[in-house]
Amino acid sequence: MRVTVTMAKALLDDLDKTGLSPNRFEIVMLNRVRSSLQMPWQQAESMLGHQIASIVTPAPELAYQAAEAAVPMVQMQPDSLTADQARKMAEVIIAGGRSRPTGMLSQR
Amino acid sequence: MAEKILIIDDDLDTLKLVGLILQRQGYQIVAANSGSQGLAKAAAERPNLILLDVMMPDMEGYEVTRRLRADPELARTPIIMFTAKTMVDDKVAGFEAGVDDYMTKPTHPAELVSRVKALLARSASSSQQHVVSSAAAAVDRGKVIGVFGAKGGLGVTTLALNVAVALAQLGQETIACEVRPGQGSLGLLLGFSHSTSLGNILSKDAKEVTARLVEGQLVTHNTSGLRLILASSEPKEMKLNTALIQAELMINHLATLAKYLVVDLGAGLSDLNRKILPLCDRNIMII
Repeated sequence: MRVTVTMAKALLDDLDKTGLSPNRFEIVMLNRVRSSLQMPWQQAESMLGHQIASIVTPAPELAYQAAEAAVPMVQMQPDSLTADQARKMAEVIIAGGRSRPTGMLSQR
Repeated sequence: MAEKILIIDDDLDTLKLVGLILQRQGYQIVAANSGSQGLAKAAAERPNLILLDVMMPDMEGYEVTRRLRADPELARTPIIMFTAKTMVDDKVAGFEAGVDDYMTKPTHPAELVSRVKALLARSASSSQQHVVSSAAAAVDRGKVIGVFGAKGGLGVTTLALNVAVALAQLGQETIACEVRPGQGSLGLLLGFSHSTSLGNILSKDAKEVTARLVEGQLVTHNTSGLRLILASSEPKEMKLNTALIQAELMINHLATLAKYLVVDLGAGLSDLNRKILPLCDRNIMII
């Protein structure tokens, strides 16, 4: 995660230099490992100098099953936490608002 | 395909000589030996550039220029006036009629070729920009959501797909588009055996990237009903990463076909992403 956040910081700086303000970007922290191995979101925010809008929790079994069945996760298990998180992101997009502070977060 | 140049001149020697010079440069030549024949050939052949004499028995080059400029289909065709008339007033008359450049006879072949090349290059750039602007200005544009990763392997495609399906489940007409030439995985993830739609669009000349072409390349996922533009996973298609104008046109057209367009941009800040990110109404960066 440290490597990813470092690269994200470089990317945001580069976007800023090209005239695309980092404020135009929403950062989503998509976790793919169990929580004990995750970087705390506060630390990621501090390294980035940018707010994290959303956190997606890991769902490796669901991701595997969905890929095997060639079906999106939100369809494979509509009641799953992952499906709920995707729906919340979609609702925020439809509402035209920003997801900050906790609008589409499952946990922070 | 060779660019087509129409030479309109009543002097057959000039037609032959200039035609030969330009043909040797790889251009396709169409010739007309009068103003009226020139207008007819311009309408029929749609040349990329017209080289036009002034003094012709049936119609002067100024009048030919005015008529070309009055025709909406030919008004943007670049014209070089090529004549023995060297006075400033003659040149002014030519520019006032609407020519783009003016050359006096005799001229060195190298100068002729360089002027033709320069005008064709300017014209191509302006024409592409015109096409892009027309597509962007289309009414009822949907919201474009760009999704990209700080690096590869973070689940950008998975998130883009599931947010797109969630939007569709909430009753919003949604298209998902994967802009990752040669690195597509969305089709594989959804069980498609062929993912050629992105390649079929980006490999076209910019002028051919129309709303109809883009709409014709959409495929529908059978269980979710989501409409998709899929990128091939064949590495050879990575060469399409340079098709920036085509990609911009595609996004602008797709945005008119649905209320939401979710664009999977892969990772990092490629030239394609630099082109597309400013077109997005929302940008989501995955870390």
